[in-house]
Amino acid sequence: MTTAVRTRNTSLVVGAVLVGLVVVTALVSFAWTPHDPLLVDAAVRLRGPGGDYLLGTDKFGRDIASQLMVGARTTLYVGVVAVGIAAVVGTPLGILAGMSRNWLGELVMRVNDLVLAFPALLLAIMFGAVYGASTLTAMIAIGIATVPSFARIARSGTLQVMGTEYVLAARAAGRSRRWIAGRHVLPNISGLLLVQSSVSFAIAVLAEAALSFLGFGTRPPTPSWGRMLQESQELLAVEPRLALVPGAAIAIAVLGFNLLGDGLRDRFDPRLEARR
Amino acid sequence: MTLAIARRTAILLLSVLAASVVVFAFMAVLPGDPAQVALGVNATPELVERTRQEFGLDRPLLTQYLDWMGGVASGDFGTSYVTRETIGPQLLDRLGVTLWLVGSGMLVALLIAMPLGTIAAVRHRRPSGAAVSGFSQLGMAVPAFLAGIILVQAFAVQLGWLPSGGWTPPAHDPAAWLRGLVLPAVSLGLVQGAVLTRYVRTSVLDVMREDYLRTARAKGLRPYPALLRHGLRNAAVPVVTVLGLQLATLLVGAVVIERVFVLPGLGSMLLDAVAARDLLTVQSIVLVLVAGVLLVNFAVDLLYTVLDPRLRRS
Amino acid sequence: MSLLEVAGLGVGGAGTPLVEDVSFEIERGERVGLIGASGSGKSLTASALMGLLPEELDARGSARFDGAELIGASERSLSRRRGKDLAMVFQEPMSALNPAMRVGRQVAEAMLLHGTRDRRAARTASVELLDRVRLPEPERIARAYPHQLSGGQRQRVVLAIALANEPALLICDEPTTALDVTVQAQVLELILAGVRDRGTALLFITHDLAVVASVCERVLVLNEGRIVEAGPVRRVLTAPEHEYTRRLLAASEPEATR
Repeated sequence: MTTAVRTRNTSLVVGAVLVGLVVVTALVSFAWTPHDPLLVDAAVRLRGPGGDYLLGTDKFGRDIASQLMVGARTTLYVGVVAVGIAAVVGTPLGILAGMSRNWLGELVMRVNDLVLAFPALLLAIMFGAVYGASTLTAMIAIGIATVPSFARIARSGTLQVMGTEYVLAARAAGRSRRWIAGRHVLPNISGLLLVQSSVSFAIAVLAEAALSFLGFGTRPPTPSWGRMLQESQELLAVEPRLALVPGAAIAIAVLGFNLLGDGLRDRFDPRLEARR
Repeated sequence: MTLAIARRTAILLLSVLAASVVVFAFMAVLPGDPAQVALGVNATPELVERTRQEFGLDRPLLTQYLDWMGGVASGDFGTSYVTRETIGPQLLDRLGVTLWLVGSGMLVALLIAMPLGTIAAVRHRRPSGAAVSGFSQLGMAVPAFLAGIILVQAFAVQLGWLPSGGWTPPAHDPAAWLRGLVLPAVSLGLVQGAVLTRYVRTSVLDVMREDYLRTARAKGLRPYPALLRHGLRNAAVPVVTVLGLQLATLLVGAVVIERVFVLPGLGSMLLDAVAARDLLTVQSIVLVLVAGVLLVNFAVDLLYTVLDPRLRRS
Repeated sequence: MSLLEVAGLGVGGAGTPLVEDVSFEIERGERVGLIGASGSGKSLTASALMGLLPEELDARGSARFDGAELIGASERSLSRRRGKDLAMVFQEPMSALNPAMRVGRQVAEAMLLHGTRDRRAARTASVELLDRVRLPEPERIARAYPHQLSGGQRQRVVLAIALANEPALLICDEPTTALDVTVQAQVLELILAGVRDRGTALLFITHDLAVVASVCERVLVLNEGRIVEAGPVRRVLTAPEHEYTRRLLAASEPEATR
């Protein structure tokens, strides 16, 4: 029992610290970066770390530390919008499916299953093919592809809440479905949704990185961790640092959101707690 | 039993059909028409019109859709507006490469996750179990393409043990094929293996708390044999679900890995087609990939009933 | 020498002890009841004897079976005894059998683990065992999966597994509590017949005093992890010496007269 408590706190604390690190970096980058992240300077190409350039420069002579800081912005931006879309669309659909156990609920879940067959990467490539790739198409694609996870978790949470005594009492008292949804269901599944948001955020960060790596995400010159990786690939033999730095940044962000999600789950998911 | 399979098959076919409508509609509503997109903005209106007629793009959308799907059902994916080659044969060829990649990646993931997940569960109160959990948490945070880049750097560039990319057909030179497949498969499988380890751990932990495992111990089975004989099959049911979902992720993950290792799979064909603005080819590849995901889900549903006899009724 | 000599047995984890200083003996072929309210430590005592305590709990003290110490013995030597010298029937028949394995194999496994070499012989013997616990059409039952059987049928299967190797001691942990009232009597009858036929000693755990009266010769009363009273069934149930036993009897009065 004591070990369970300790690991729970560790996940939450370490996750929060890592996520906080990314957020603070992004916020600071609005006010200050060591150099202009976009400044191309052939004179300082491929400088090693140290001195004026904390993490060195890339093949265009741009400061890597500054790009990394602004790249955190891109990562968080994409994550927030994508998870936002997924939560705003998926949650009401899931609650609807959980509350109306008739053809409507069935239909919502069937459509949900269909969307599930379109992974984020594939959607983003489709969007890119039709509208031209950009941060926006990447965000929307990741958002749509994440809707089913939110709908599913919202539905299963709703089903649980709908079986409770207090919902029964509210229904007996003649409360409307909308009142029950807003007053009982949503507050009670908000913990689950928070966990899902954190986990989805980690997946979104990975998807954005992969898309930028493929050239279907953030367009140059806006700094993005995934694109920094892609640009580093040809120079890997000479300068592995160029790949390892953005790679580590991605890993830190993903690890942070995953751990945060684990920590929150232990807090909010009573079923898991009971099983420990 | 047969009724359940029939029902599942019907759902599969309907889902593929619905997906094809979505893919077709998505490509049909795009701003400008496919011929214009394929030929570029500088093409004369006359050329565009001729191309439209040649590929039947001037017909009503419903006719176009039915024509397309009719072809797809018989394995004919039509002719590319850009290369003017039939899409089907190349698609099949590329699909083979991708399937090898996905299959071997899944194998690597399983080889990592089954033993590690079980150890993490059995030793969950000891440091070694916690170490495995920590490893899988870290592995989950590494993008597959980064793993690929690092592996290439280490095993191809520095050590020179394995090729850094490229594809040799297995019939051509099996040894070269296998050597070329190792790094892509490991890059793809390593990360998925880390994810899968967590699920294996959870379901083995769940099974360890089951009464029937205590019955097995009470018969005189020692802890590990009891888990192997009575636990694994039951633990497999939830793992198979995740495995199915992961196969879908792997199928798309392969797109990225193919780019890293310059493999002529479906993913690189898709990216090339997008770059060439070859929309019919894009449409066809997307449909094949989505149908693949749906097919995997279908297979998972069937596998349940094999693994869990309780589901065989009805 | 008694078959089982328990002395100063205790069970506990990180916190307060859950079972403390439990001592009793069971003779060969003797039928002993262990009664007490839920949470009094009955099941833990049984699990400690079987060496099947949950990981987070430890057993202390001594329990000698046929002269050999059980508490603290190696997993290897314990697993050789389990299912052969001492066997157990659990409370929950619904979850006690592996849902993914045919019933016959689960019975046969108990024999194959302890000396029976021939698979075919084990199969035949398992059908015979299923017949002896009076399951209808034992051949068909052997080929069935647990979910195809009723609770009472499953508990008979569990009993067949426990009796497969003619153990010297059978521990039954509330074996009829989860069953329908109509089935309870039949299963009790089978347990009683099973141990009598084989000369097996019985440790019968229950909270149901009426059951103890019909099955056991001697009874131990457990309260908050300690034995508060022990003696012949008739004496303890008619003239209880301990306050707790009296309260237990009073509480079960309506049940006894039912």
